[in-house]
Amino acid sequence: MPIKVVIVKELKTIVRERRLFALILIQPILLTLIFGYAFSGDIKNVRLAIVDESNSKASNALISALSLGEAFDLDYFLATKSEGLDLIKKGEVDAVIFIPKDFESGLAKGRAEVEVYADESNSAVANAVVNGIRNLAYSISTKTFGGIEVEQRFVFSTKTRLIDFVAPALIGVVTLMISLILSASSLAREKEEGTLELSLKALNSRDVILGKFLAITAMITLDVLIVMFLIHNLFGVEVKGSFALLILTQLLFLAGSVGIGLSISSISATQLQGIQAVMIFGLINIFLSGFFYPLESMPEAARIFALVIPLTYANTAFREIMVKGSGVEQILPELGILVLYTLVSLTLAVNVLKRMGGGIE
Amino acid sequence: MEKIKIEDLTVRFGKFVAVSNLNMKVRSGEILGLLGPNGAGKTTTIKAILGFVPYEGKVEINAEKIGWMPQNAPLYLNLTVEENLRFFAEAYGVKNARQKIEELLKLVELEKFRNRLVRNLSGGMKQRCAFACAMVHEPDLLILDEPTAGVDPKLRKSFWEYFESLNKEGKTILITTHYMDEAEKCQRIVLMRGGEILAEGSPEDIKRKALGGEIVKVKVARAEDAFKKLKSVGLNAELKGNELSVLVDNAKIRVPELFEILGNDILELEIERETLENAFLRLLGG
Ligand SMILES: Nc1ncnc2c1ncn2[C@@H]1O[C@H](COP(=O)(O)OP(=O)(O)O)[C@@H](O)[C@H]1O
Ligand SMILES: [Mg+2]
Repeated sequence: MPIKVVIVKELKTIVRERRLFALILIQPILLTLIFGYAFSGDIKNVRLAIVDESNSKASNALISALSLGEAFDLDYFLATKSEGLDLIKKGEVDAVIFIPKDFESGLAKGRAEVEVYADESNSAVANAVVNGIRNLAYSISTKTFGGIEVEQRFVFSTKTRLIDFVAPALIGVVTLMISLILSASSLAREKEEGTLELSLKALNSRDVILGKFLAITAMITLDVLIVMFLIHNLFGVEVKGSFALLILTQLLFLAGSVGIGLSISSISATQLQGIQAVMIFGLINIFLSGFFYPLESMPEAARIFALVIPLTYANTAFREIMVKGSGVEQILPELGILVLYTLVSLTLAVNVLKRMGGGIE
Repeated sequence: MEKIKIEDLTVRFGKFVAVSNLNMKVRSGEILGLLGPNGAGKTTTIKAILGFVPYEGKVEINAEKIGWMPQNAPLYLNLTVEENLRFFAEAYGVKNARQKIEELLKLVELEKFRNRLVRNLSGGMKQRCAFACAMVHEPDLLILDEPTAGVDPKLRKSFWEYFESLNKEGKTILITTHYMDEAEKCQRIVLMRGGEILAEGSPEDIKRKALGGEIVKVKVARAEDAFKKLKSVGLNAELKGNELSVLVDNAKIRVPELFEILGNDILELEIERETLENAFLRLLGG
């Protein structure tokens, strides 16, 4: 089997290239530990100002629920919204919670509203506050009014932890970076050392690409399992949805990224050039994908870029599966885009390589 | 029958013409030496034959299997000698791979180093391993691009022993080299420069062509007389002391004629052996 020959050769080559192999093993571990510890723990001591226009039994229940536990510090009780906004601008509080007059009556009808104002520059905190309040409001509403739901758009369902937001994206980032590095270096190394043409005499370009692709897939799947193991055991992140769907989505995204890596490296002259080029592609992806900032809090222009970046969709899909437990139906749009990404990039790779092989099949 | 037939081959890299309107044939069963200075276009011609560069013109190949040893003997550095052989054997779908690999390891004397990473091989060993890899699928046409570059004389000799024994088995070999003693061993030579063919033929043909013939040195008793006699029949001769240098188109035909003309005056006669190196220098210099 020609593909098997290529896979075996690739795996041996990667494992024996000690520095590369170390990079492949260490990078995901480091990334997970750094981001894991940086973002671990519950959100604590978020400083709140409360504007309670409702002043009712229901609003009091909500406020006392907020004051329980360590998540929120209720620092100010104010009369008007604008006072609260000033405090945010001055940096005195992280968020203002505005409970409108009709809160209690709304709650009874199942349409209660609470407005949350948070500092946009600290979007992670903002998100945490919004979600924390949603959860509280939900539990209050079920307790007090016999199961009436306030609002069902929960982003994070039970815990409000940043790691739950970051962990799925770690899988995306690791998959992207390692697949780019591996695919770029593998093809460019062969070009530089002259073995590519030699193997293209014996094998057709499809087998070469496919063999490399499968070997790289095996390595990265190992990496993803390492990441999953760490985030589960060290940071208690669970996969709510189907593990198989998660891996499948990851494989799809990986395939596309390997295609990009192979294409870039087959048009660059040296290994170094190839790796530099894919690094740029990778970094642009990471910065604009909503890895650090949720898409909603990005400036308009950056958000438009984010929409054309594959990692954005991969991360969204991973979050949906891991945090919300979504199934295939909920992530169909993301899957569609990732399928497109994969098809385009692998077609590109095979064609670029075929041209190099002078049409020899 | 020709193994390779090249008609009007032109290869361009951008505006630069690396091979220009090349016509040549590699005949079945011969050792053809493709010679010429660095940058002459030898490697490019080979890559065109193999289809690795876009070209204009026609390249016809009548070989079943081609064994190619590229310039600089590229191999997988992170694989061992044996693993490299196995990779190419399996990639080519060689049936009795294990046996073939053993045979080749023995031939190139790398049995002891079979488990050594190619990264850690000496230059000569690497060259031998690359040659073995090119042979693994029993090709009937071998294309060897500077297979002996940077190899010590002893190893070069054994390389040529392989080549010649393969050739005896009927394999066709297209080889490039910068060594003149190797060029002498080729049955035919194509000499290239600047992407064009400068001369073509057997080593003897090439030498003759370089000189415009052959030089016959004759020591004679009555030099002046002899000189005049030769001049009178229109031969191109020079006189130095009692020695005549006669430039003839073909020594084999002209020597008997010289005996006829000069008869018993001839004391000593010698056909001058022009070295191939000098012939090349003459052709390339011109
Ligand atoms: N890929 C390439 N791009 C541009 N120029 C090239 C390329 N390959 C070879 N050349 C040029 O073509 C000429 C012939 O090269 P080559 O065939 O390698 O010569 P040789 O093998 O006879 O030493 C050289 O001038 C070389 O610089
Ligand atoms: Mg060359």
